[in-house]
Amino acid sequence: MIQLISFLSIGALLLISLGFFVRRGQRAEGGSGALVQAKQALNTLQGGLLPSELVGRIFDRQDLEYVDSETSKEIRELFLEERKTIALSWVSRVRKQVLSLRSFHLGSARFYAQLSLRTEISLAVDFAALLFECRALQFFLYVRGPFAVPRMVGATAATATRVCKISEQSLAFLTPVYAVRVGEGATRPARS
Amino acid sequence: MLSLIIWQAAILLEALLLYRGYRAKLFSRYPNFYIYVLSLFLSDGLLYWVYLFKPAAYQKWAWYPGFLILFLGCGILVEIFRHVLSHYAGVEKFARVGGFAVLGGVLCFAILYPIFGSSGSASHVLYVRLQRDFLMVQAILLFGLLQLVFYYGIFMGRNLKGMIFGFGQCVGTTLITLALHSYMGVRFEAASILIQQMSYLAALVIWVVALWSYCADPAPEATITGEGDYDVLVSKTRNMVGAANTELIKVNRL
Repeated sequence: MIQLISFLSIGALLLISLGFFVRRGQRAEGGSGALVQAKQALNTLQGGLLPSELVGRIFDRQDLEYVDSETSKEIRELFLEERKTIALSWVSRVRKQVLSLRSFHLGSARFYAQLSLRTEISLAVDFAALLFECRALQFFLYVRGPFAVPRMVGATAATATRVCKISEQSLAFLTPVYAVRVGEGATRPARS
Repeated sequence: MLSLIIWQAAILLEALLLYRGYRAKLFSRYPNFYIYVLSLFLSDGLLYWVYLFKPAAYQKWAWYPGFLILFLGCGILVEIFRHVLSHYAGVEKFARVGGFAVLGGVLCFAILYPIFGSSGSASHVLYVRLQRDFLMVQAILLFGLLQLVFYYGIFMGRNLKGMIFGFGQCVGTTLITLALHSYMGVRFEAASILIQQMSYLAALVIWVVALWSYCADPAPEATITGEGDYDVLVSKTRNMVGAANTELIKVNRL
């Protein structure tokens, strides 16, 4: 019975993977495009998503207090609903940019012959854990609302800012190569 | 009757595949794959004539090409690994280590199981068991390769995509039907044979379409040059992930 289950599971997993494989689109990965995307992700995080004024504005409790004191219950509910949508959208965009940074790492690491199996596995686990935590934050925001976890939001913004700083160092280390590549033009055959 | 029609269609498709391979000069690009197809074509063609004119001899000889094709099937995997990962030294190393580990594990199982197992040693039993074990290895290797392809965002041309899809669906379907057959016994035998034949026919159609002409794999653009940069890249990424993790754990505990 164990044999049957293992054979069936592996066969089914293979067929499912093939389904995804065939439906996958064709797009350039790991080239200068990925580097540009990583840069854009970093810029979006630093310039558009993480400034403390913006985060403070979205999650400012004073807005809720004002609505509470001046308007009806219906308006309050509408306000909370809209703020929750904005907060969730904010976390979702932060997560998307972190994904873009991960994609940049993978696009770069795959070319190295000295790539370490153990390191890559542990990094994969770390990235998965990080993204899972982002999801958890989304869940809390969804269930408890944007004003129920103000410290959580502040700490998340701080986390993302820190991620950006480290990513910036990583991208700074690669920037000269990027500049050269862009200068060379897209038609030049790539290094194999 | 249906089996015979599928058999004839398969021979025709194999011939067409070989013809197109010759015309599009694909033999030299994918030699292992075409050796496999050629062996299928020869064995199917010869066995078909034996089946028509000496049915008794067919029962005796049918197993032998099966063993050969089973081993040659691994050639397709070699071809796929060689082409898909040729540009990616790091991922290729990953796949090589994983591939040897899986192959070693299943071979050990295939050798040790008959010694300690209770079943007999008739050639067809051995063939079915060996076929299942080989398919298991091939399925695991293909599955692992697909995960690497997804994870590292590797893209490939129509030829390789078709080769993987055709071979993969055939391996997956055959593995499932063999497992079900061994569990359900004779009542599933006719259905099992038909499903396997249809799956093989589908693989041939996919291959004919995908390998009609040569389609080069998209060459990846390397983002970084230099040989000693991997450690730096890893340490930067690890710092980033580690810092983010620590902070997010704190966040989730608030």
